[in-house]
Amino acid sequence: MPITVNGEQKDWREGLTLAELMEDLRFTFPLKIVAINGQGVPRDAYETTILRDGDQVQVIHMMSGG
Amino acid sequence: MIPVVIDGQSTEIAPGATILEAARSLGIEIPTLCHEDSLEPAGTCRICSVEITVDGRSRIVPACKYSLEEPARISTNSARAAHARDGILRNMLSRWPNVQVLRDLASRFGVEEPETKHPARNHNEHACILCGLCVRICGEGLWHHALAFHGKGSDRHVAMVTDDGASPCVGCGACAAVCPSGAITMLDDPNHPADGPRIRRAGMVITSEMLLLDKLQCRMREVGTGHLVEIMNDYDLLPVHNFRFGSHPDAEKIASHHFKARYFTQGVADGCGLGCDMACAKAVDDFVLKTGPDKGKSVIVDGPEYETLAGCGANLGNFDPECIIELNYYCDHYGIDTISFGTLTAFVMECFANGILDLERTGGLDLRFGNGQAALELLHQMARGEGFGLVAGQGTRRMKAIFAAEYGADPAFLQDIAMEAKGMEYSEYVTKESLAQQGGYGIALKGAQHDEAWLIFMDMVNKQIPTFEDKAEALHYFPMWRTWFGLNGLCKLPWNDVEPADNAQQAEPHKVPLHTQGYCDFFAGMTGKEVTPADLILQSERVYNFQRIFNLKMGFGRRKHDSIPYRSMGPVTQEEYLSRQDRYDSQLREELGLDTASMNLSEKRAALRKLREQRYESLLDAVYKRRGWTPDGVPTEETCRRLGIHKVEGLMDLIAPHQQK
Repeated sequence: MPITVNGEQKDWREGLTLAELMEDLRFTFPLKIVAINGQGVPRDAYETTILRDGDQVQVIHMMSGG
Repeated sequence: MIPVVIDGQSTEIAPGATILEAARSLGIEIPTLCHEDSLEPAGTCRICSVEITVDGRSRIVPACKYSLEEPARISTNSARAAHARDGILRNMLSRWPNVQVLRDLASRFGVEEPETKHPARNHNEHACILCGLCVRICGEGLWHHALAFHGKGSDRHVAMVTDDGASPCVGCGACAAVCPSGAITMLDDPNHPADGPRIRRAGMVITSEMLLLDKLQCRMREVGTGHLVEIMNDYDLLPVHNFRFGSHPDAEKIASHHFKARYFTQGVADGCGLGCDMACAKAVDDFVLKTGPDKGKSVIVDGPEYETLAGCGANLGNFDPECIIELNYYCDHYGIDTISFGTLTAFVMECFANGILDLERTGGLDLRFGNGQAALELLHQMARGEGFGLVAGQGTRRMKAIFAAEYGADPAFLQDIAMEAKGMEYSEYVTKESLAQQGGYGIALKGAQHDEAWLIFMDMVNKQIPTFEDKAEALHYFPMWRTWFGLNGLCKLPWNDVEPADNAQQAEPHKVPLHTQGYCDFFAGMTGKEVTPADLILQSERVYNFQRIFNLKMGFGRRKHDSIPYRSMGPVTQEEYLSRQDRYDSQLREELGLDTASMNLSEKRAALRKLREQRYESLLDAVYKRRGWTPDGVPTEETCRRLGIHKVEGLMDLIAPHQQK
């Protein structure tokens, strides 16, 4: 079962970290909030947070700019 | 993590944390006088002295400045620590016996004023205690350097810098806000606010966030809005070749780090808003111009900001930083908006690429994508009112008519690719995949200007507003909120280009509720009238609806005027469709149940266009309903009465013919 990111299915691989997922998706914007299965993840924990098969990831980009 | 014990309590802290931070994490309060979280620790006053023991060796250190790199045992109240702290406090009391913050500390620690009196004794209860916070917030914090220490020994004091070329005080009040003794107060505020300190407290929230968090967030102080170039390129939102595409491999050449390293003058206040600590307006000093009437002159260029980099850069296929800086300079010099120039020139370049224009019609200007020098010459011609500049200078809307009438171009194609709404050129975001942002541009009262509603991330990336009603709610709230900044003469950027550290934990983080409350405090502090966030929206709604009706009076302000070019809804050309084929095909399959495998490209493009145009119309329906407008986009009589603008003479007569019977 793949993971979902903001409601869309994305590829998952064993050991995939949140930081790697952000890189894969090119989610480079600094002002964002990430929750996995409804649980918020602090910014400094992206590299040590390992995603599990089927995780629901919500990435809220804030509205800077414009 | 490093284990530390403070006053018998154990904890683990990240390497590099100060003793003060570690103590706070345990709820242990260490007194400070010269410390401000948003500034680099100075360790000047030493009132935070504590005893630290590492490897069996003890010594006294300032808690605010000492970084923990190895396991340690710390005492804030050992005999040795207390002796150090109390001695410092006694010395200060002997000099400034009546300063309240010192008397409070004396009372807390049971310290009595010594019998020996300081030779420079000052009985003033608001005496300056030489902590230096004001000097540091003005210099390190705001880059103004208007304050400095003067004199030596007992004559040492803080005063304005009066050297030639020194920054003048701009009256921002940051020094007064951080002063612990009340030595600096704001006495002469020409705006006569109802509650000045309340305004400064609200302002200091932003100051503190800028100094602490900006370097981790948008880096507005380093590169201004230019950081958005690389972000928009990553998210496929950077306009390239007249909004046909959303990214380009060469975008890296105009990324913000190049401007920071090679062009931007750093570390000075920008003068855009006096005392603004965001200081996002960047400048290029000593730029030698290569073209135009000032050729060879060394000038200061104000910018470039994101919109200029995207509009005069990527959207023209021009990835030469110095050419963009020169376009920026001459747009400013001639009084031409860089966004309008960028977008209209991108339109011209696409017409050139399609044979609608050629060298003969442009008077020899080779206006192919990527030719920044030709864009510069076009700009000079526009300013001189010569050659093809006379045509382009009339703007995109008029060029459409001219190209159709005089060059036989297909009016429908021109309409599709000319990025203007209500006659105003689009600002620099690709909106094809964000319906809400299409509405943000299309419904905006003054034309395709993004500052009423910038919803791309909420809509396209976060998927936060999936239904038409969700989008309509966002297209109600955010345009009204952004209008409020205009009504009050405020810049929008401090609202959400820096955010509180705990913004993510708020109920509606995208509204940045802590900052919204700060604006309520600002309004109440200025006027003396208490307001809620909902009151601010209502203030805007009155003006916004009045403006919509003013548009109606001037022959605009109806549904047909909110139409947008198809380029901003979807792919006009085959190559645009192919560049995002997966996305478009999947929308056709999922939303229309079409078998895209059996369709050719023309069929798919036609089906997608029909779908997207319908969705835009449905969005207009939902937004008009949410705003209390008729299906033709005119405020209803009921809305005008609710907002109290029905009393304006003639207003109800103006909208009467447009009401639904």
